[in-house]
Amino acid sequence: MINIQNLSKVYRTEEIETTALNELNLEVKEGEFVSIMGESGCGKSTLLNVIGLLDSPSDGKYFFNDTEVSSFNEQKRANYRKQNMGFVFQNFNLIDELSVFENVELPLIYLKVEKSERKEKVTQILERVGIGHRAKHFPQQLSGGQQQRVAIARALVAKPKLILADEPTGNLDSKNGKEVMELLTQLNELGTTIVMVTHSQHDANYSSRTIRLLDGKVVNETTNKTVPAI
Amino acid sequence: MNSNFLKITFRKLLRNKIYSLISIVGLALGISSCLFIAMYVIDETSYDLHHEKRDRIARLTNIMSFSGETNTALTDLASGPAILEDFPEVENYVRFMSAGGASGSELSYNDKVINLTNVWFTDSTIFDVFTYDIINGETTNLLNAPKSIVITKSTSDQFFGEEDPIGKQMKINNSFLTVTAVIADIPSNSEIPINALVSINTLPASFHQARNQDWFRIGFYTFLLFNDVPDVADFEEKMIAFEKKHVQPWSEANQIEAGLTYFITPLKEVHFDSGREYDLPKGNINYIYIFSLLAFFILIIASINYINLSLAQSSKRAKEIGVRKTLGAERKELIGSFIGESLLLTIIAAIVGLAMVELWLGTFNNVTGKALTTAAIFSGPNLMVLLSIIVLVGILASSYPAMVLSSFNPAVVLKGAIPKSSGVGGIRKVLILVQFLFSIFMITGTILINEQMQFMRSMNLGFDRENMVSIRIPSDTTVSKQTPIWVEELRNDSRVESVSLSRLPTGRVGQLMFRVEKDSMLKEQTVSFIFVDDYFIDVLGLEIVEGRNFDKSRSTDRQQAFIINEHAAKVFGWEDKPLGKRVQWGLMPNNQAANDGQVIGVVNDFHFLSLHNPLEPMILCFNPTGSNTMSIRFAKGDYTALMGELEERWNTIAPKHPFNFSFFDAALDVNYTQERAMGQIFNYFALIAILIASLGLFALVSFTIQGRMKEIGVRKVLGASLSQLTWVLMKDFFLLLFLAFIITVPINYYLNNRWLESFAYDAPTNVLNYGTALFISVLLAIITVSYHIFRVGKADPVEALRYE
Repeated sequence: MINIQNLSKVYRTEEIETTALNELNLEVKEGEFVSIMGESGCGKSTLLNVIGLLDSPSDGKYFFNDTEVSSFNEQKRANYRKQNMGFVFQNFNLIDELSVFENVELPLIYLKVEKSERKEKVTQILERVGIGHRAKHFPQQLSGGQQQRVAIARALVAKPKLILADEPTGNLDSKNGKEVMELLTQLNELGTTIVMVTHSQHDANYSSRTIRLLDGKVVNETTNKTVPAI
Repeated sequence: MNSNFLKITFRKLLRNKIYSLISIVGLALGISSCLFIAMYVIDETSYDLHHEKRDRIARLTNIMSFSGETNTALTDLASGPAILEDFPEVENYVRFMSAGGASGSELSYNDKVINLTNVWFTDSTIFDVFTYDIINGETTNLLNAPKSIVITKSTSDQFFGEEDPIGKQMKINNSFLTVTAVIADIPSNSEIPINALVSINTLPASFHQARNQDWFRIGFYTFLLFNDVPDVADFEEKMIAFEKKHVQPWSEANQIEAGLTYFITPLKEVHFDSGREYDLPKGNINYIYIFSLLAFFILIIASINYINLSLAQSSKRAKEIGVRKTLGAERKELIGSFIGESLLLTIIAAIVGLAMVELWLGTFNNVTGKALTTAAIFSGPNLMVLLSIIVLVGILASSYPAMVLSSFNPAVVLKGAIPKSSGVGGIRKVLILVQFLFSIFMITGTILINEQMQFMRSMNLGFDRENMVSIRIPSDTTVSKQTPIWVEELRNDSRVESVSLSRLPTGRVGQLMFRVEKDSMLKEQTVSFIFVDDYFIDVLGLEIVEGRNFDKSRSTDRQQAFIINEHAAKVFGWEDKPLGKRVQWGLMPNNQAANDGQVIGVVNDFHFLSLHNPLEPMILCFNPTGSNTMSIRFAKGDYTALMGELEERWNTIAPKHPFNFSFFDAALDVNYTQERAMGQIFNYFALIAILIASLGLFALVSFTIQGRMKEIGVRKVLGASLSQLTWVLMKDFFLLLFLAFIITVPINYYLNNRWLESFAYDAPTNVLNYGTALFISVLLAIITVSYHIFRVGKADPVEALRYE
């Protein structure tokens, strides 16, 4: 699904040049659950942004489902993103002025889904992540765990092929964190490809493969077999 | 735009109540100001559009050259008919002569006597030339017969109430008139305001005869109806030949050197055809420009406010934009949504603005002397203005923030970083500068206008303008017999300083052709004059510089004595010895004259014209009995009780006549109505502009502080004092304020000087005024931000650091 070849990302300011990704190679197959780990500043988030078409690389090639997407313009990227990808963030990034239902509905609106269909899909997904009874609440009325479940529901509602999660448990306590990781694992078992950035080895253990980055390069890859107990 | 954006807009408005209020109130104030000015401008520019033949109608005016030139709106009686006869392209004409002028004339029906202004003697052709709505009575030949009168609905209501006025007898100047028709009230934006129309044939044959033989006896507003839209230059050219044919032979026959230059002004332009003598009140096109400019300024200030507030909130919105983009929103969708959001806000502001218009319309009408109604807002042109404002502000004010906000990189903003916006900072500074510029411009303008108004009010006019009242005496023998007795009574009243049977000069006086002595010769000259009695000098508080006052006991004073002002002595070259110099009026050929005498006294100079005009020579002629005005100077103090007594006494002397009086200072102020209205409008709009700018500054500083909370915390931890913090935060704003001030000074100076050109006497330039403007601006800015400074001072630095 994801095939990245010699990908570099360089940030330039007037005085300094920072290499965030350095001729990186990576392949993720459909149905995989991949964790990306590494020290702060190793390029994890940049990699996730490039994969998610939120950022474009300075050099190299990026094939998504065999289409070279690194040279897409903004409009094309926005189009590709909404059809294929869902995002989960550490700080949830829900829109405070919209209710739970409306937040989750948002991707469907951008996909121009009919209103009745939207309602059905949103209700379904909220039930699935166990937050259906909170549909009319606003993000700030929810706990962190509940907010993250809303965010996951939003990422899932359009049935994306790929979910990109940026430290999804970073702002959660261990109990809520566990619930979120279990939710992601279930999704993966049902066939959704997941790429997750994390600082936590514990969370990484839920995934099938862990990639370690250092200075913008993959330095280590391990395959995980077991799902951790608490 | 999807429904989500509307929801977010509403919820955001509700959540940030203060800032929503500032945005909406700012825009609403801007919109209501614009609406007011639009209504004013549209009203001013739509004079007489209700006449069906408006494009073919033109007003005839002329410049009389008769030892000196008089550019007058009035014409003689003969021109209209003569032009109709000579020019095939002229289809008709109509003349208006005012009955009683500005002070009006008494009309009566049975016992009801009302003093009515805007009563005109006019030709029956008026209904062929102009369009009036006849609602009762005859429809043709309304004013053909002598002694017929047409009244408006209001006049009919005043005199007749429910009664049918048609065929009833009304009375004016002791002659009876028959009401032939009632016409609908004339729209307020009409050049000739009408309460009643009297057939011009009512005037006696002798009147017509005298005037038909004299091309220089003016007194009529003449309008011509052409076959087609007239070619102004072409027609005026032809009128030169007309003048040679008709006027020149008459001048030669009468042995005077005099001529006329005719002009025509299309009806549409008459309202702004100002600068002619004896004209009805005219609009001032310059004020139309100034007010339009003000409206534009205010709208710009309000829009900039909106832009600044949007940009200031950008850090708050960054996350939302990031999320939307991540979820697949395209940039153009976002831009569309922002514009939609701002259109919605503008519509809300427009509704609030309309409420403001409704609320303040009365005040606005008072100031401008207009009779605008709320319904007028929804008339075609005004509605267009309202919609254009909504669309313009909605789109213009939002497009820049929309471009900036929609350009945020989601990967950056979702990390919580506030997008770097050095470019935005630069543009935002320019926007604040523009806002300051307009505000300071208006503050300074207000100060300068008020200065001139104050200057004129406090200027030494050469007489005392306070505590004087004039009472109009009707031409009714029973009343005029009683008047001298009443005058004597009043002179014995300790509360009265002086009483004169003369009209006071309230900004306009008559002019006559005199012959005055020059190098032992008599020379013809047009000079301003007033008929006065022997108390005039006393009642006005003038000083006799040389010679003596008129004396009733000297029989020769009536025709052989003149008093002049000092300026006349100077202009006539009599500075050494003015007394005894020869003066004549009522001129006849061969240096003969009906009145022939000498200067017996000189009074100090006094401003008998409005201060738009420079001082002129003046000759006082003695006429102790002929006046229809009694002027009273009260002793200083409260004279309201005395006014009551005067009215009571009036009712015993002249029970049939209304007590028609005016205060002298108020009558003088009428000369400056336009300027005062402009000054007040400027005051109001300056206030609004300042209010909007202050609201904007308040919000902006609040956002600035929010964005720099960490910096403030760190500085506080390191020991910065409140004043140091204040300077750090406010420095940029104050620098912009000073820069704006420096830019506005020359602009204000230039425009003020241009405006002052319309006055013969203008306030000296006072640097202090500009200083005051700067001081007020700085003070307002400090007051605006002081709340925030107070908060910064109270804030716990740890709290501030945690905020990040």
